[in-house]
Amino acid sequence: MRAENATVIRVVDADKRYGDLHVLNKVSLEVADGEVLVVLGPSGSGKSTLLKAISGLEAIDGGEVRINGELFNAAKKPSLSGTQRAEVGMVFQQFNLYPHMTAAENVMLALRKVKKMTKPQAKETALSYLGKVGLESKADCYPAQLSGGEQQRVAIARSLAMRPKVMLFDEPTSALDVELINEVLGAIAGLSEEGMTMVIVTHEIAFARKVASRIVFFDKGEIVEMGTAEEVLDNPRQARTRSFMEMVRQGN
Amino acid sequence: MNYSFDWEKILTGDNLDLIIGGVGLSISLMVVSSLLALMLGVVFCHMSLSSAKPLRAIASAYVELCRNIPTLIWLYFFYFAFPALLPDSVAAVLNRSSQFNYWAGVVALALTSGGYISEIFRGGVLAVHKEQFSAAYSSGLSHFQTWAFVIWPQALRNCFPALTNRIIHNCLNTSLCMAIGVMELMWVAKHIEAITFRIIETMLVATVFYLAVNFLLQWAARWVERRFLPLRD
Repeated sequence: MRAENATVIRVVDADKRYGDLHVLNKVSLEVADGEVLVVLGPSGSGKSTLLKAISGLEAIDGGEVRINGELFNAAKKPSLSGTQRAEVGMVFQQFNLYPHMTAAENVMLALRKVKKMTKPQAKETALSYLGKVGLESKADCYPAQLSGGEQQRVAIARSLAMRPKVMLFDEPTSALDVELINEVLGAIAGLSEEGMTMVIVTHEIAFARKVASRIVFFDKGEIVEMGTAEEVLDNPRQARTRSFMEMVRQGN
Repeated sequence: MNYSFDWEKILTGDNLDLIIGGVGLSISLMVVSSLLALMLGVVFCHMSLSSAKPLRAIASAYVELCRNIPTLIWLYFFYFAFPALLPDSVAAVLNRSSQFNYWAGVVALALTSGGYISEIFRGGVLAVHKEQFSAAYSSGLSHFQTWAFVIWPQALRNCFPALTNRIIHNCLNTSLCMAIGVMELMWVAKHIEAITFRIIETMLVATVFYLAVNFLLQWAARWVERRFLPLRD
């Protein structure tokens, strides 16, 4: 029985280089149960790499990542089973739905192959998660027949159906037209209300202000500043944070 | 035109039996060599995409050998030269076997087509978005499951026209097996012509057969595409 506010994600001194580029510079952070951590930062700062390091998609050169105490990533990357990997759900900027399968089949694939559910069980579960994101009526549509916002919501249902401990979102609305952004942000906000532990990389400042427990400003591979929305967005202490927020405000 | 057609001479009696036998053997060559070529194509495609440099080198060498050496030379190699490379006892068994030229034909055809097909598959796989691997990884799918359920279905859809093209080409290439004495339809046609001198009739029979195979395969390909493979738009 997990104690309240137990640490779910623990990153200690995560370090990664791509040749000369020091993309993660001894990054350490912790995310507690039910917390929503929003990561802001300029492009090329390493935010996506940080998310991929947490999920295990990219191996790190040094340090370690632990999810609920289990080692997920380290210099000598441990081999993770399917069920372990599914504990960290990931939603991508480009949705990444399987184009040759319907929405329901997209959600069902991992349920059948990793959780070993039967086809009818998987179908029922898939439909219920699609219903959660408001897309039960589109269960038999192919991704090409869905709008961007609908595709992203199917992607969210696909990750959720595996009942992950953590959900990671890598710029979930950056590839969407403006009018479709809100339906996806609404789905994510709903998740946070249910107490899902999440790390979200996004450019949507208003959304960040609404859902974030904490905000991290990430730049050049390191955490520049971390705090509540009021602290980081309205009263940044570091110069780099301030200039970034200025740029963002001018953009809006 | 100075030529008088005599269809009865070639389409009756012994000659008809020979033609039917030839058609059967041609179809057998086509099916077996195509299936083998597909299997070789999958194996060498995975090798060419492997992270291990030696495997990639072997796959690359194989593809170059297949593409740069005429199929006929491969046929002669497997029938005449290959047994000579083996120990005498094995060679004797092979040369005595009445099935040997059939299998030499199958292997030669499968090998050459396999090289082309592995490149076709590789193109299909490379056209699949790299992030599909990431999505499958995050869902918890194993390496095998990712390839079987996510990557290969998309790769096949990508390269299907080129693949069917090559399979049809392979089937028509079975006519080359006459050069090593396999009694498929081309050999039979030549044989009957040598006896009856009915050159146009015999070549027409062979032509009609290969045309029919071509049309059948193209129809089958269109059916498979419609039924199983569309990326619905």
